[in-house]
Amino acid sequence: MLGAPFPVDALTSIALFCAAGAALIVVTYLVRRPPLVHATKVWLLMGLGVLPIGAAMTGNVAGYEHMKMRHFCGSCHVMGPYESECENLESHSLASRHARNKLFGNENCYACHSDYGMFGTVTTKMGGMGHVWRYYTEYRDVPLEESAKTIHLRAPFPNDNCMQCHSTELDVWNNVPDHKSSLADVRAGRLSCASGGCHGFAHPFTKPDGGAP
Amino acid sequence: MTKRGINTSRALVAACVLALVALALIVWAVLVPRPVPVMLAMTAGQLLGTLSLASFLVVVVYDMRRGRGHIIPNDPPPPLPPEPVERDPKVS
Ligand code: HEC
Ligand code: HEC
Repeated sequence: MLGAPFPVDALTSIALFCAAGAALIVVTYLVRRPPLVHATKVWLLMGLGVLPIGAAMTGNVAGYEHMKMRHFCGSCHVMGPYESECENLESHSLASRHARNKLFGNENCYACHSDYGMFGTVTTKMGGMGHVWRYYTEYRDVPLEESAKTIHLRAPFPNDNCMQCHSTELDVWNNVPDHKSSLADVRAGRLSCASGGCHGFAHPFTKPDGGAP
Repeated sequence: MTKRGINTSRALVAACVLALVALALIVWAVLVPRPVPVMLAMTAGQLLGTLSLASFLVVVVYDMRRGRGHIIPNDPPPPLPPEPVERDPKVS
């Protein structure tokens, strides 16, 4: 799920190529209206079936890849500060410290905020659709000063998401006294990794106390 | 064209128009990958494209069966058997 296993630019070109070919065939049919002989059927099968399916499949995969990008999350203005804060190399927030590596640095929102597990992709997409809906119905015109105070997660951030990458199984990790003493609570999710006193809030600029560790 | 027939050329025009709308949504999403276009392409775009292909396939199957004599558009439909009327003896 991480990184860009699919070359988005190539997918985009294939999708555009298929769409252009299909449109050409379809428009030609509409203009000429040839009789429905065998050759017409084969052409229409290309123009209404094969090429549009090619465009849809490559377009969908490109769409999924785009949806993971931080830039995509930042397209709604209320997420803009989160995006720019992550891109600020001076920033030391947990979120921005996860924005620098090559594997998922550009997809860091998705890396932390997607649901993991069997239906993770589906539930993440459903949740995302809900967010887009609420953006257009509620938050579209809300100024940033206000949205920073009112936007919140629907459920507490699960430690499990951190533990997808930070297994809590290695010595270096376990030798940290705070990790050692709270291991059971951390694994069970009773003590949040991203809380004041531990690693601080991931986006301290939205927290009144700054979430300083 | 009888009641049983499909107007193949109109169905094909509809399929083409649906396909063009679906393709436009896909191209929009690919060129402007922002939430609304991408979501529209993946939902409405898929739906319209599927409908378009389905109507084309229906037309082709219909056309082939007509060609083989299964459906003769100019045949009047066979008369329907009279509906059996159920009588409830208690209700008069
Ligand atoms: C997608 C995998 C992934 C997830 C999810 C993830 N991390 Fe990380 N984390 C990393 C990687 C990779 C690094 C090292 C980044 C680098 O070196 O640029 C890192 C670094 C860190 C660091 C060290 C930062 C530093 O300055 O030394 C901390 C602390 C941390 N993560 C905590 C968390 C917490 C808390 C969560 C959950 C809120 C979390 N991580 C979620 C992969 C992840
Ligand atoms: C290191 C993992 C991590 C990354 C990367 C990350 N978040 Fe978060 N996010 C969290 C955690 C943990 C919370 C819970 C509240 C907190 O700690 O600030 C949170 C909370 C939020 C909230 C709820 C409001 C708030 O501030 O509490 C929003 C909105 C949000 N994140 C958006 C984003 C966006 C947009 C990005 C990408 C630009 C992003 N997050 C990247 C871990 C992450």
